[in-house]
Amino acid sequence: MKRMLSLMLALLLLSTGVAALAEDNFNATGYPIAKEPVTYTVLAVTNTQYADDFNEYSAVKYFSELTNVKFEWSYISETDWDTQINLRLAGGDIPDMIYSPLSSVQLQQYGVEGGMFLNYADYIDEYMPNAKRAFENNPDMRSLVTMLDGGIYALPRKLWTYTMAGPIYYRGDMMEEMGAQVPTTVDEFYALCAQAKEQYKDVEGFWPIMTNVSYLNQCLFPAFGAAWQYGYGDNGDGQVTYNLVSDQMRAYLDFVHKLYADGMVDPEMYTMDGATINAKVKAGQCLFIGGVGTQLSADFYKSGKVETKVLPPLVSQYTDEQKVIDVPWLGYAGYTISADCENPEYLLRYLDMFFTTIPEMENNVCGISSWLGIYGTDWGISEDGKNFFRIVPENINMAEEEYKNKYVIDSTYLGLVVLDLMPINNPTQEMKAGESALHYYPYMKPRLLDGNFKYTDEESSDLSGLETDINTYVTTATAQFISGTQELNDDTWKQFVDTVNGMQLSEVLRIKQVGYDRWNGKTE
Amino acid sequence: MAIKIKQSRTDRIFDAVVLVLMTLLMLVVLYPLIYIVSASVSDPDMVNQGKIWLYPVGFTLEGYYRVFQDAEILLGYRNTIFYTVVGTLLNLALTLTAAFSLSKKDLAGRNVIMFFIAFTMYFSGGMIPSYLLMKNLGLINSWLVLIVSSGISTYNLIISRTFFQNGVPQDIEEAAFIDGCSPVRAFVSIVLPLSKALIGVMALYYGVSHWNSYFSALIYVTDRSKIPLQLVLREILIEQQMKATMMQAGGFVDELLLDAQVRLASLVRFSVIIVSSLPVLIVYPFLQKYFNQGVMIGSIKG
Repeated sequence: MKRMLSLMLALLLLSTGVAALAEDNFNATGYPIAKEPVTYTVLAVTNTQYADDFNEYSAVKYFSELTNVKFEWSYISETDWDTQINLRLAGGDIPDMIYSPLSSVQLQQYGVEGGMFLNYADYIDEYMPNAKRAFENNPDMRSLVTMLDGGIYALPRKLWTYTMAGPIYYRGDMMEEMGAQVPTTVDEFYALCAQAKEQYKDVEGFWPIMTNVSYLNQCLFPAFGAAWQYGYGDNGDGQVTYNLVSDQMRAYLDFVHKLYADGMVDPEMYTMDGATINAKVKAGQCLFIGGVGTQLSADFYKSGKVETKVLPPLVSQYTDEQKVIDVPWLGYAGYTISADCENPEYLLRYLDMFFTTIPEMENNVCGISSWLGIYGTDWGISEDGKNFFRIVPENINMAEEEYKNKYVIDSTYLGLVVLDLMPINNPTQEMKAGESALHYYPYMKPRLLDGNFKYTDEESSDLSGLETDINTYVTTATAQFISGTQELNDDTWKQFVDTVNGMQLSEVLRIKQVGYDRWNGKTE
Repeated sequence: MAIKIKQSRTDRIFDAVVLVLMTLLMLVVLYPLIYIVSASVSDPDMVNQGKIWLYPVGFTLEGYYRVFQDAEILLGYRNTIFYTVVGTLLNLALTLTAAFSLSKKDLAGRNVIMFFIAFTMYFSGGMIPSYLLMKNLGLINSWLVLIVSSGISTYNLIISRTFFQNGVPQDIEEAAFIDGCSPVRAFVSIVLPLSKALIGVMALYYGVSHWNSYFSALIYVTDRSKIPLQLVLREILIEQQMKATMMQAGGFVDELLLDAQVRLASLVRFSVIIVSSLPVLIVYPFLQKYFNQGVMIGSIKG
């Protein structure tokens, strides 16, 4: 009995000692986070642009030295990610942390229902003060990652720079050649297209507008009425509305059909990918460019300067308010931690470093470091505080982003990647940022993030079927109206609207409203 | 002296129609090949602008230069050759011995064994259970998984078994047995030499399937040093597609960089297709005579 008691006491002493040792190794504040190095296993997405070993990244080395938190990486190619991650999850074969983002379905299935992931909500208050503050200042970030059970199984990122807009650009040199003014109304826009078509008729394959249809939808649709979001949107009254069965949509379709029928827009706008549009734009075959305007570098222009410009939002007889949709700034960053991860506190504090803005930066690390690397080493801010620049060693002959992806850090942005400064030393990005700041950002209206709303299983299964049917029908029907396969008149429009309503649009809107209210914290 | 048979008008019309149809069919098959060869040596901008129809435009060999510079493609090549050679040898060893045994009517439990083998043609465990099985066997990320997990194709096994049953006269084997020959000796010294056509066809079937295989590697192998050429090719093709989509989506990324990547990838894409298909195209004519003899082998199953 005595021997038993002494054995138990010894064990108790030992376990307290081990716990104390673990406790002693952890710094609740300041750096390093771990007195003795701790190592976690991590699974990440990789591609041919990234380093072969993420531990070779200069920023990752810096973070590890600063914190004493180290990683043992394994990788999945980004092209195989969907297949392989599902197998790993189904097989319960996951490391301490999955670095790259999982889908909300996977988070629900394996996190909420399967209990395989650590719930950040239990730890944020204690170990992640920066994330807590960021969530308070940006409630959308918390809404995005909070599942229906109130748990948080992945971290969000807020990306915000002046180079994120998706505008329609125009060729400044051509405008000058034509002696034209920048159009402000849709009618002036059409007239300018017609003028360009005539003036450049000898250029092989010339179309006044070279774009994928999505840029027309995003940039021209708001010019025809009060709504600014193509598809579902909140038009300012807190209600989810489907904007594609409105009078605004009909006026927009009329206009785009006119562009299409009169040969103002490349008829391949439904099928071209970025590479094809890019090749045509660089062959000088257009005046207006959807999306890929930064492809035209200074070398392209006779003047040796970037003369691409951003087209400001247009207005029409239906509205005199210039408006565009907000940039898509919110998303899942990833960083899902296994529920079996031992001593996650080091990791939590490590990740918390990135929930900081530039003014909150410590040890030259803030949220932007997850994109650009270390302040002062990989990027800097001009003396007047208005510009940022990236630092590439002189002996390296690579583009900034290419160098960064290969030697500094990969592109899994985390936390607050907010950079409201203008880039310098990169002419096309300078143009995009400067032009966007003048002609895009001032007119932005909030985006309804309906793709990220959280639904119950029942709501989700009802919604997905109905929404897919409506989307498929509307995409097909609008393409027919634009191409003229189906004439757009009172009868066909009424038939279109009736068909969409008949596909239980009201039920879709009801479920989305529930999701939206939940997102806004109005319901449980 | 050859006897000349006079063709009737109907015969000539029939021949002409056959000739025209075959020519059209040949063009349908040949055109994609010619297009890919032309695109692989053309300026990628011209390809993206849709200016290539038949002949190369803006001739350049940079795609091939890049292909042979890329360490991963060369590594993939080496791996694929290894998997194809070793895998095919193993396939032949397993398939032919199993088929020979199963072709013997006096094999105890033959029908039950055949039932279980045929069962796998219609029902499989599914992807996740297979993954778990390989994981528990410790085969994940091992080169063995790409060879062992596809050791026998049931379809090929049935063809081979039928061939041994009907194509090799039982009397010869029986005569050999009377002379004191063991079943192994009979298989090696009598049956195999009489089965060259079968072996040729099986080697072709298995070899081509190993050469083209990527899915097993996609599921079971993440170690970059073990991936086959087809997976590298797949990554190049899909990555280019993803980059083109990202470029269209605009936004955060440096679009100039994407442009460079997309251009490069589109250059490499066609070259890799040629480089990866060429060995099979070269080997095929040599195996064709066996293929012609052997393709009908075992066509009557049972």
